[in-house]
Amino acid sequence: MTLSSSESLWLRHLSGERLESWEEQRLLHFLQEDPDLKDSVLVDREMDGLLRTLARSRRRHDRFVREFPSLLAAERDRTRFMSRFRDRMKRETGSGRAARKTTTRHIPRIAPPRPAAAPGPRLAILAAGLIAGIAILAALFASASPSVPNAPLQAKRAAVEDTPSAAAPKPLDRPPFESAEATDSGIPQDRKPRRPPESRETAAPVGPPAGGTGRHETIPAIAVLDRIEGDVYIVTPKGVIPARFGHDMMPGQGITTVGPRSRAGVKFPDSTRFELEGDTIISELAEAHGKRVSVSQGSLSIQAARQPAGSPMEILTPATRITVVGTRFTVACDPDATRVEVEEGRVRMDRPSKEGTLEVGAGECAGATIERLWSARRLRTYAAPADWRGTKAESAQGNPYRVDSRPMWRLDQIWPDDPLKVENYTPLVWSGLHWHASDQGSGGQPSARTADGGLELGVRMWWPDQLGSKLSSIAFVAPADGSYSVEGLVRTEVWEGGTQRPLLLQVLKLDRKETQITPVASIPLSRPRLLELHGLVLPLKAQQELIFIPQFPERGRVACTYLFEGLRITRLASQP
Amino acid sequence: MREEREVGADLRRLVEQARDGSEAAFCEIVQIHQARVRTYIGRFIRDPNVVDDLAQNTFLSSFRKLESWRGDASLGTWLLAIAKNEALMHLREERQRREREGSPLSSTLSRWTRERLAEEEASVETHDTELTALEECLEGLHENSARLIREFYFEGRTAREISEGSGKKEVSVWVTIMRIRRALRACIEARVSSLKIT
Repeated sequence: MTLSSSESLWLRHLSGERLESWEEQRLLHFLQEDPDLKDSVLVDREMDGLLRTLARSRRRHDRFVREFPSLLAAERDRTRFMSRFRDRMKRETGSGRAARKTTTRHIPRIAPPRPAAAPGPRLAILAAGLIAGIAILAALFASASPSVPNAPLQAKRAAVEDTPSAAAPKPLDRPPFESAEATDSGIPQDRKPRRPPESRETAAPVGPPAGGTGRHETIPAIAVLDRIEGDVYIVTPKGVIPARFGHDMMPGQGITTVGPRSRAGVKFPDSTRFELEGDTIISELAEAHGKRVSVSQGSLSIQAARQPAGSPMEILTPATRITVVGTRFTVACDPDATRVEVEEGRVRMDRPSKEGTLEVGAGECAGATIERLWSARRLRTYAAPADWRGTKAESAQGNPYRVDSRPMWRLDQIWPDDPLKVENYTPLVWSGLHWHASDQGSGGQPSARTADGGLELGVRMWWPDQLGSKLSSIAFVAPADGSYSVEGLVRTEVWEGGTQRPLLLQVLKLDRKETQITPVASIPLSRPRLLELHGLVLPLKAQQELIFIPQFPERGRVACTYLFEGLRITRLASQP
Repeated sequence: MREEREVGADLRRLVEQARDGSEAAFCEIVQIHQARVRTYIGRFIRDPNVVDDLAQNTFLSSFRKLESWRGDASLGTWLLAIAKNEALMHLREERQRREREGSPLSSTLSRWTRERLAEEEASVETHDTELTALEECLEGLHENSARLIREFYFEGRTAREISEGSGKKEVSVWVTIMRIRRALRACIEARVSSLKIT
């Protein structure tokens, strides 16, 4: 069996091996020089892809189809929301179209959150996030109508010109950005977000002046979108457009990822780069005396090149300001809390209009809420198993999951279904495909499994013809006394029935020695939630357990899956 | 023929119901067409997660535009045309990203793949014929080859795992799989041409 040099290189490339640069050049040279070889490898690549997808579409057929209703529900929800929103605007202004336009035009006036000068940056970021959200929904609604050709180009034009685009109809005999919008929107003038007069952005203004046309002929882009996955949108002064790879980000523009699996990457010319995780809203990007990124909610990973002296990069969240000189770190935030983890270098955190500054170094994590700033050194992180299978069918062998030969993670059935009684927790058993209850199960619940690197719990509420809820839970067993913080994204997928109020995730502390269970938190899951933002930093003694368990807000017919992505628990060096 | 007419009528009924707002009906359409759409995209896009994302985009896009489907082409062909556009857009973005990352091989492969896809007919008949031919060719594989393909593609074992189990070198496993792929391609082409002749 002889293998030519080109075939060997091709197979290594196809197997996912990273070729050396010279090898890539060599293979490329072979392919460019020999059209038959080129055709042959392309056909081979297609066959490989076809076989992989054929296998996957059989294996994961159920999952693909099962996931789709939730996508449709989200689509419907957006459409219905916009329909109600439009009706209300019609009622209040007498013109829905003008009202839509007015709403999106608030965006250029979003106050850049200047912590030092502005008394209420938290309010400004919240408002920016809210408006960005409304604008996104407006764009999604608009996307139901025939799409606008070359949207990115239009967006660029929209950012530099003053002429209303085809997607945004001209309002009623009113010059753009006139004060009338204040009354149209129904928001009192003094509460509207507004660019402060001393804004740094005078050097690179974003929105057109009142009544002016075409003043800003050239605004340099400050960054470029270099990664897009899923639903990603750019918030421009004229509205919201779907993001495209390579989009030039202008000062004042925002970006948002919709859905837990959406991702986006933004790169600055100096190689500073950040990535948005799912459901993240950046209300504004700016660059004058340093880069400024205003985040309303979500999670970012940032790799900052060394910044020029006197012009540090700033990340503004509703709860804090993070000043960066050059480092690698992650930020997660929502309107109430911010969490930072530093991998390299240092960052400084402070809270606008409040006293106190915190330096966070490599290997440390820190949090900011309205009440306090804290930081602690990370000792060790325990990630939930990405692939967790039993070793024997219909047995609990393999549950709990051991780390360093100590039980660390356990999947339980709760029966009877009172989660506050220690004796009700029994380990799930392995079916050969997933973890399930040895008895008292019904319709496949309760259950648990690992999929796509995450953990899933299958549960159902008290069905009319059955006794009790079918509940499963995840338990983390503390390996030593200490302070532990919880991170990860949790969301739900309802696949039968539903509830009026959002489903909840209950977090409990279980002490087997004391035979005691204490509630720690109850987190509503109307949207995906980052666990680290719910104050889940708590002391645990060795062998005490932290339980994550689905909670139903009311009795009713509902069967659903709780999905945990990136669940991990970090032992901290001290109680923050 | 009668069966085909009944399937067509069922699909039209589902489309009508979906147009009237039935998500259940649309999910049935997804169920019927998902494998077709995913395999069509999967031929040209290697990352399986991207394939699923693009397939979902295809269905969501068709859900939004369902009113515009008039039935001139079959629903399957209409879906494949949307899937083709999704895949073309993705390949263009991927090429640009690879160029930016300084990866000339990957960016060139993305460009060539895009060119091939652009020339590809988005016809449900052609695609289904090829898929059926592939399945028949898979059934006709020699026992050892069939086992290798089953283990590698359908059971998700890696070439290293297979090589450890069989005592062969890992590179031999790769080469053998490549040769089986070539044989399958030749078999598909032969079957498709014989169908055209008959």
